[in-house]
Amino acid sequence: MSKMKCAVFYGPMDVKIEKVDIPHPKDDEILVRVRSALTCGSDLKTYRRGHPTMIKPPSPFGHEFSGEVVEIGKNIEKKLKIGDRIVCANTAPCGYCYYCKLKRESMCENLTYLNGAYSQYIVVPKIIVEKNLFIIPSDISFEEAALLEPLACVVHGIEESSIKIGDKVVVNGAAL
Amino acid sequence: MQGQQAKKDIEVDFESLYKRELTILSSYSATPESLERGFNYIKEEKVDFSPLISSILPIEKFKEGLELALSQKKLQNFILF
Repeated sequence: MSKMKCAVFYGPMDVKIEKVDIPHPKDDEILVRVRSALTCGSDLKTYRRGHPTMIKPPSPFGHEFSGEVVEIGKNIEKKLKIGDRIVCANTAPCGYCYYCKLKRESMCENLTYLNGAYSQYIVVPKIIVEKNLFIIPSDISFEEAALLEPLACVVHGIEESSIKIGDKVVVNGAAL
Repeated sequence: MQGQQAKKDIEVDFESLYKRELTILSSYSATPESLERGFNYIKEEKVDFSPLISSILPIEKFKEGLELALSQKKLQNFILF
């Protein structure tokens, strides 16, 4: 079986690069070759002290990435083909809990999490593929596209705050 | 305010809040809608990300990337494959 490099999180300040089997996607998954991954503030917090919900060690580490589709499970409905350049969020909301019904999906009570961006390959579950995955146009780089999730957090914040052009605002914190 | 400080208690002068009609508001993470809008901004090249890209490192050095970001010397680091 072919191997890949993968950063595995064992606990605070304990991350190792290991050679592990390249995963095979099940019918409800796709396999993506990671091309760019980011160090997010949440990764730093996790690295320093662990994370209560996002990752349960030992686990592949990292959650913001872009890449290329390598294999597609037969139950995937989204129009995708091998070689598509994609970016996706590391979570997807369930769609049926109290907050999802209110369209406040960021507070979903049954959020699906995805970890393993610091790996050469990552398996993405169907719920993320169908809800939060986008095909990158050829003129956009993997690096730019990988910034989608942090950008979407900013977009969400701007829309919640109703700020508009011309307003004076203070930005406290820069994802560090 | 962000996650790292979010556990801290903050004193608020409610009289000022009341008399100046101030609002405390929070937003958390992203939604499918904000992801879609964010993706459109990327597609339309409406955002200049270059100031955010501090380092580009191979996976073997990803720990170095985390340490750089932890030291707050670099803002956003990329691990390339």
